[in-house]
Amino acid sequence: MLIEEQSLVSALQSPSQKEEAFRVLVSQYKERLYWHIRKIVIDHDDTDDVLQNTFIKIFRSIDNFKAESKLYTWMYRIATNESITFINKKAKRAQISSEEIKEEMISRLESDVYFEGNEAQLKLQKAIATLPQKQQLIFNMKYFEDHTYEQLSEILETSVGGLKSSYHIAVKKITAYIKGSETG
Amino acid sequence: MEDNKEKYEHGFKVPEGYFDKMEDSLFDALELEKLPKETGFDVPKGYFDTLEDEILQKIKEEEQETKVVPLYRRKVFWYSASIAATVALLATLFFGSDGNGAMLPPDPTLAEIEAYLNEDIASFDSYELAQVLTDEDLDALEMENEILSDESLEEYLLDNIDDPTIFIE
Repeated sequence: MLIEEQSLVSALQSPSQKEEAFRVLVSQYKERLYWHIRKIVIDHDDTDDVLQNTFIKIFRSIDNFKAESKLYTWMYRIATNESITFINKKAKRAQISSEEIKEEMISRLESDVYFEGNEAQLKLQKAIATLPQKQQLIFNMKYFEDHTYEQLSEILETSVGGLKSSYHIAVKKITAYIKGSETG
Repeated sequence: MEDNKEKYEHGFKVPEGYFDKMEDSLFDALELEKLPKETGFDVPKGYFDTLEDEILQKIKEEEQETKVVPLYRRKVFWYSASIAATVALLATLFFGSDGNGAMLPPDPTLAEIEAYLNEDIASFDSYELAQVLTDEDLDALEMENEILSDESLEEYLLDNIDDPTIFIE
């Protein structure tokens, strides 16, 4: 752990400094975690709910955080789990699969006031939605965010080799989808 | 010549299988160059500015609620337990008894059922109920009571409440 991160964690674990340190933590990570969650749950209001729950969980469980793992990967893991749980619950309520709910949400993007993407960006989102959940995560985190394979490996608890081949498969599927939609 | 060869070895190494997978990564990079680098998602103006306050506010609110939640949940459990037990009893009386439930018309309306419940069910004492119920019914009722023991309740709550510590390894 970096020294900076270490002192933040000890402040978070000390009752007298907890609130102040937590403000620092939220302001450091809010945007990164927001965009990470947004790519999984798509809708802004849903993202807001999941992001707030993620930070609340972080606040409540920071006392049990072990110094062996990195704060950064630990937080991403909580955000990822929260997002996936959210999608699965939403799908269950609608009595469809989590893949179907994702496609349904993507189809609503065109009329979403908080989506300003052009045609190519919309098509890319549609292509991503056709991937299995794990490949979606890997593609989003590798393509749009600046994670290294080593960081991804810690967050998603998958080997670097496994991640690389999943990413390659995801890229192939996405480019095939886009080519198919251009010619078809 | 043999001696010179060693002189020119550079000592660098590549990860195993690097050259086999090189085409793949090159192909990926070239293909991806044609794709947009941004998602196109947007957020309401000023959304990030108030997030710290909102989250801390929510934590404080939830902390206050948590103090009353166990009592509330427990009450709900007991209410639902009583309702479940009553429904089980009534179901047995209506459908499982040998003619004792015949005080109701064969195709009762809701009002008739209500009237029946108000007038008749209260007059049953536990002895009479025991006579109407079979051993199996009584076992089933006992099972219901068992589910509601303190231990089971605690287990249920532990299993069903979102526990943040599951993320800690």
